[in-house]
Amino acid sequence: MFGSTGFGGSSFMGSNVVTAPTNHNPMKDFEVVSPPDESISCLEFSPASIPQNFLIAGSWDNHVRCWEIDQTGKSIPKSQETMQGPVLDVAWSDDGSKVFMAGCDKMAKCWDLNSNQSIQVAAHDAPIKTCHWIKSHNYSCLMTGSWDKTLKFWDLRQQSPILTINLPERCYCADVEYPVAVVSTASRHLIVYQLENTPSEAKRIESPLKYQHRCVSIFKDKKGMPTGFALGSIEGRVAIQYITPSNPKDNFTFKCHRSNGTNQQYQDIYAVNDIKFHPVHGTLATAGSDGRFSFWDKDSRTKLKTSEQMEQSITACCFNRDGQIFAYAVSYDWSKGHEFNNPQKKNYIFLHSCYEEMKPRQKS
Amino acid sequence: MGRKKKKPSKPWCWYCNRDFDDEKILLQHQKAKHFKCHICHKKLYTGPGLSIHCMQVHKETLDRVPNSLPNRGNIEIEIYGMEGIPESDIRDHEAQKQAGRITTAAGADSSDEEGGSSAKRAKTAQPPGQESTGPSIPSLGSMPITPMLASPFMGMGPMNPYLGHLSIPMMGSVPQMPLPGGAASSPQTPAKPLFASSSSPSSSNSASKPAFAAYSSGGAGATIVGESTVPKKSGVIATQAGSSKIMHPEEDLSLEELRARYPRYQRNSVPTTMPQMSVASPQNTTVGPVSTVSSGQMGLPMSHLPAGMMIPMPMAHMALPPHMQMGMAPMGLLRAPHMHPGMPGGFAPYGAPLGFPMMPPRFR
Repeated sequence: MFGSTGFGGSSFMGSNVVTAPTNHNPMKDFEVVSPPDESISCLEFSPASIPQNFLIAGSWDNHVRCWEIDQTGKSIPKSQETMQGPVLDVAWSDDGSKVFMAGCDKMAKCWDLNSNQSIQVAAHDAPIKTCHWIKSHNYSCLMTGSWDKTLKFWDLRQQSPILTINLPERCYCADVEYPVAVVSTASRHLIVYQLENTPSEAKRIESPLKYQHRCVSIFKDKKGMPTGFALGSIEGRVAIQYITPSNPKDNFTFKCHRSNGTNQQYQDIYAVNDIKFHPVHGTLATAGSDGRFSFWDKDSRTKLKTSEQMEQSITACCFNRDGQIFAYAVSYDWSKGHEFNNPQKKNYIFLHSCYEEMKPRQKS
Repeated sequence: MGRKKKKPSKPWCWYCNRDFDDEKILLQHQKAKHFKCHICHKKLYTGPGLSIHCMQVHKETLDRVPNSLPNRGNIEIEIYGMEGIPESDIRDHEAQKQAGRITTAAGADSSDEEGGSSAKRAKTAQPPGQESTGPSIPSLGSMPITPMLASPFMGMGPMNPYLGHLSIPMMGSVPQMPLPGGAASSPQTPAKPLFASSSSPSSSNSASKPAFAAYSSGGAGATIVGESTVPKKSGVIATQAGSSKIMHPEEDLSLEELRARYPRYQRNSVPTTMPQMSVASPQNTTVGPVSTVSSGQMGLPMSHLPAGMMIPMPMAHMALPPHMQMGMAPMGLLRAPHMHPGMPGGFAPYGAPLGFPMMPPRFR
């Protein structure tokens, strides 16, 4: 069971005998078998609509892989799809039957897991950085955000987008939590869209951060309505921003993924590569270029946990539907340029039992 | 004018000129921000305490209080909350508050905890220091010696981060004496009523607003203190500022954009402008990219190849393992052949490098 007691070393995995003396798994988490051969760009667990846990990972090796994760932490490779360029984002359809994949080949594809067929469903003039499935009561569509400075909405049955929204800059990150979408672009633009009936711009928010935005994740209030988002920048900082703050002091930023290493002259500041909210507790996880992940409670403004340091950066992370499993991908994120890309270094996806650790700080 | 508000001023932090509602919070702030050991994160109680701790425990000398304004870094002066602040600085602070009420320097941002805003403060605070030399000396006039001491320091103050340190011998056992240059730190005109009457409306404006404008336009002249700097618009990230280094390439592009223009990831990118509802084959369609990749696309990434790779490339392409051909490894780093089992057909397009012209070295 993936409960609080579910810790097992990687030696548990019979198929993955660890021989390297270096500790590639400092958290002693479950290791996903047959990881991608190049950096992992995105990770998504299947939605709550299906009983099993499927994990999807997109990679710079042009592949999208799918594993089934069972309750003992064992991963079973299920299938693999190929794009014509590095994959930058993946998304599940609400019913868990399809996976959308987008990337540097400037297109998005829909992968039907039952038939194992994939068709192209979207195209842009530049690589597509984000894709999200939008499910509302009266329509459903795929939202794609691209470096061609557009946001497009696709009905899977039509060749042309049902809606194109121009962005002020290249799309860098986005998140969707119906009826709200948040998109952030280069030059730190931040736009909130409402998705009811026809998606439209609801609000532009001045960036609370001073550096390039890198990841954004919407959070919900107690009633389950999206009320704000967490925004991560390359300068080891996360902003908690409410879309309509009742009090301006509700918005705040905090530092993370920084190190005061052996060299005390300089503090090394790393990018926040990914942010995800826990589906049950509402606490959040940040994944850093420094190779660590941290768990935070935004309401009590405290850190719950920081992981050990991995061999390489953590490039993506996600929670499964019931918040028992935290998956994180260890691979190179290019933060030190191509010179530091070492193809010899293996990429990993780990599964961390997180339900207890992510519980919010008790109010005292 | 002689009108004085009898309102007791809020507690404020001598080190960073920040106001607090409560002295308790001020003490917390000072402990967390100014009296925290950067090595072991132990929170000390005073600047000298921190200095002694660093010396005894870590064998390190601290020359200034962390996160302090340029002229408030004196590590030897014992300040605890509001206790121990030099008299003149208190007076200047109050005078400046009076003037400040007119302009209300939109200060109260909620995310004040970070270096970002304190750095901003430092910046705003400095240029006025230079300007306000005139008015501030008379404000110290009651002490006959200080003008003489102060003026040389005033002149070089903003340039010399060790100002506070240098002044120690003079301060020594007389903590009540005004710090040379102390007056210069106040963001607004720190004038006595007499001067305020003549200069406050104009100079309080000119001291706060243009000072910042001067920084943002000129830039070079201002000393940057603190850990974060607003990145310049020119698409370059100030990765190194103050005592910190942002682990990110200097170019203000997302890591994915930087990575995507590396030739290795371009080989399969087929430009698609129109959506096609064609069924994609499950296997990677390795259409020869040499023809489809436009020269414009190939132009960028070349500058990212190590210098050593440029000549041997076309020849070595035949004999070397694929990663060497692609210039993955900087010269001098040995790389064993590394195969990508998960990339069937992925090698076919490696013919692409044949078309590469000379590549300029990349400097990072």
